[in-house]
Amino acid sequence: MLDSVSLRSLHAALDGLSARERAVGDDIANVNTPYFTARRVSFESQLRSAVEDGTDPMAVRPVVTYSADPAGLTGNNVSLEAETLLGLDTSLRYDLAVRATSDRFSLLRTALRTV
Amino acid sequence: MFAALGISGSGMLVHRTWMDAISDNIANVNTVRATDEEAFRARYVIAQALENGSTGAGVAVGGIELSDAQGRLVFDPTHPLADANGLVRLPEVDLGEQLTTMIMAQRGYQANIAQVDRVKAAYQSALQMGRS
Repeated sequence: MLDSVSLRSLHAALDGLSARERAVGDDIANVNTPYFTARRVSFESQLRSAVEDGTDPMAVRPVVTYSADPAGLTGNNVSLEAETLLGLDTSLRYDLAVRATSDRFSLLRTALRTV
Repeated sequence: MFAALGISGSGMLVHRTWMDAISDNIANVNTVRATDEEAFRARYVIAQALENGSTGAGVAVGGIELSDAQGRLVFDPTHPLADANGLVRLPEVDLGEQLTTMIMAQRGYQANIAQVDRVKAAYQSALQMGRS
């Protein structure tokens, strides 16, 4: 019960989202670094197929790829607008996953109380 | 554990170093030297990305480049440092360029602070996990 697929999936999602938040932080830290290429983190599709195939969701590792956006004059392709929105999106998704995890635990807590 | 904060912190540090260098360049825009000395040399901060093989480890100051020591010679015979021909050496600092890069550095610093706020919110919500 404490090791259910939903909790393990949420754990994998939190790992992936925190990796993405780190990547966004790194891209913003390097917003003025010449020849820097922004990074993207993907894990959602792998997580979805792991849940569908019944394999362990915790085995999903976030995949880091380089952004193919065109670079500017300094050879840097970080778009501050895109990164800000991605950071906000990731932060909200993280909150959502935390809330879902908390809700799973409160279900467990309710079950424990009724005994 | 709190790696995301450190990454944004490194970005803030590099941008602040950059702002310090620009301030120094602007402060010395009228620094006069004698013609047998080298002119004040403007500092240019080189940012370098730190790699860790995955999401990146932030940024660091990779080095400081100095501008041309030649400067420009200006005719000012009343100046105490003027040579026999009445010339003094002034630095080759473009104030317009310095001020526009200052804005870039400021905006970069602010972008990193905004990211710290978002990361802080995420960590705070993680700390509330399992409560109530």
